[in-house]
Amino acid sequence: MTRLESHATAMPAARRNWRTIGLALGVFALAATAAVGQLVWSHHHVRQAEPLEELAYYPSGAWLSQAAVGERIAWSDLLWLRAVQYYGMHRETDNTFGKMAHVFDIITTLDPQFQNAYVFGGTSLCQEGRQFDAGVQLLEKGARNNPTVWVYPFELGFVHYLGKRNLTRATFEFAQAARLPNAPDYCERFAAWSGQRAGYEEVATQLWREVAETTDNAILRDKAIAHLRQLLKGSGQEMRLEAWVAGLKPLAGPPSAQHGSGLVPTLETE
Amino acid sequence: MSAVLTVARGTFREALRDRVLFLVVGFALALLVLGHLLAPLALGEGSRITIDLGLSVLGLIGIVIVALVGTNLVHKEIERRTIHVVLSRPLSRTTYLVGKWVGLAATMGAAVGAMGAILLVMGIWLRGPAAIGPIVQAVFLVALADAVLAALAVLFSSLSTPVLSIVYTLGLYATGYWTSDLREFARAMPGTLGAIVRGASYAIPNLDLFNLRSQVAHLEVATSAHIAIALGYATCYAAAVLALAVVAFERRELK
Repeated sequence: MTRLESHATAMPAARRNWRTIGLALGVFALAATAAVGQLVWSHHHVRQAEPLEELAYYPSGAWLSQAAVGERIAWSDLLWLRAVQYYGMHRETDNTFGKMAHVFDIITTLDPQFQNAYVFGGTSLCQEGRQFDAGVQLLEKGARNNPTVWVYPFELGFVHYLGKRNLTRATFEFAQAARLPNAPDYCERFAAWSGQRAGYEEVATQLWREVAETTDNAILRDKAIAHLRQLLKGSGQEMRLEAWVAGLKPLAGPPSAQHGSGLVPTLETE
Repeated sequence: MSAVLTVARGTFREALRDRVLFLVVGFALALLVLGHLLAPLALGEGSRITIDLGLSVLGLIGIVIVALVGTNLVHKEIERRTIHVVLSRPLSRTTYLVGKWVGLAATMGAAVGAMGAILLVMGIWLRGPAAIGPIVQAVFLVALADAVLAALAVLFSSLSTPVLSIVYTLGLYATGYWTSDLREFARAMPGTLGAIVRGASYAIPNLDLFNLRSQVAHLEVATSAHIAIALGYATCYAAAVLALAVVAFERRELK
């Protein structure tokens, strides 16, 4: 029997157990600290993957639909969360949205009825994204996949009116929306105003007002309010606008998306 | 019939002893936490995402239970030799196997039912009474899909080792969502190969029939014809698979 073995057998079993546990905990603490330390070091010295960077390599939503094995909806939800994160990050930093069209195309292929993805993706691409054609394509895809839903032609009218001031196309789209089931009265009103070439600022104000009042999306509402503030600046109606903003029902959203966060309207107009 | 129920009761109790239903508590807690965490991040889609992911987790827990419990069901008893004690009683192999499936399906039903009840409460709280119909239908169809998968697990468990049974069951689970694509591929394939692939697409369980996740996301109720066909298909498919399992098990040498 070696000296070590005789020492080990001489030690009571309980004490030996505690010693092993203590040793294991010590190793754990050391290894965990080293692992976290390396991770923190890598944040400063290794290039970090951009959120959604991996999505650029996905061939298409159709491919993902097959790979999702019955969980298409759950995947579209997870990608929606990533897309919102991507939007928020670039909105606060460089204002470039290179992969947004691709990711919203994937989301809406996985779930062809995902209304918020079409509307938020389409309008954001037309505005902040400065990819008007891609935004219109997304909204047209929504209209194709949901031919009885008035929201898509209405949003198409909205982006054509505000984004390109294409009143002819906007009138056509608003009128299309007005003809669909459950379309609210304002679709017909906007079709008429747009068709009569009514004052651009007044119609734009009404459009943004409808967005702010009807959306469940805190960022969209925030954008609408910012546009309204800009449109009504110096009109003497600012106090009324702020009172109206204060009366809007609160929405769940990240703190940066709450009222008055300072999102500057960047609507691309010609 | 009473013998089938006796075996089923034993299987159900054994699954409970394996603490399968602890998953239910974990599921409820995860769902509550998920709801609170996602609401501010999802831009108006928090409630939809909580319910969708809850339903997905419910489906995945089902296949995990089938894979872990179901595929080991018969093999464990053969290995422990307890099957000799059971079969020495006035009990046919058919009764034993059907009892095992009923017990496993009951376990799945209990787990899915309990998780579904939690999901339903969350659904009503987050999305209102309109969520009741879609969620109840979706949970019912998940339970039916699990019963079909349980039948496959019993078949593989009576034929093969647990590891291979898990591989076969998970393989059929994955391909079960591609049956309509397989039929499309078959159309583009020449003669015999096309016929084989087409035949395979009918032999594999059509799990898309039991998938109502999209309807739940958009608060749409499935037609009663859809539910009736899914029920009929699950019954027939499980019966066919169990019949094959009985054939295989009757011919098996139990050493």
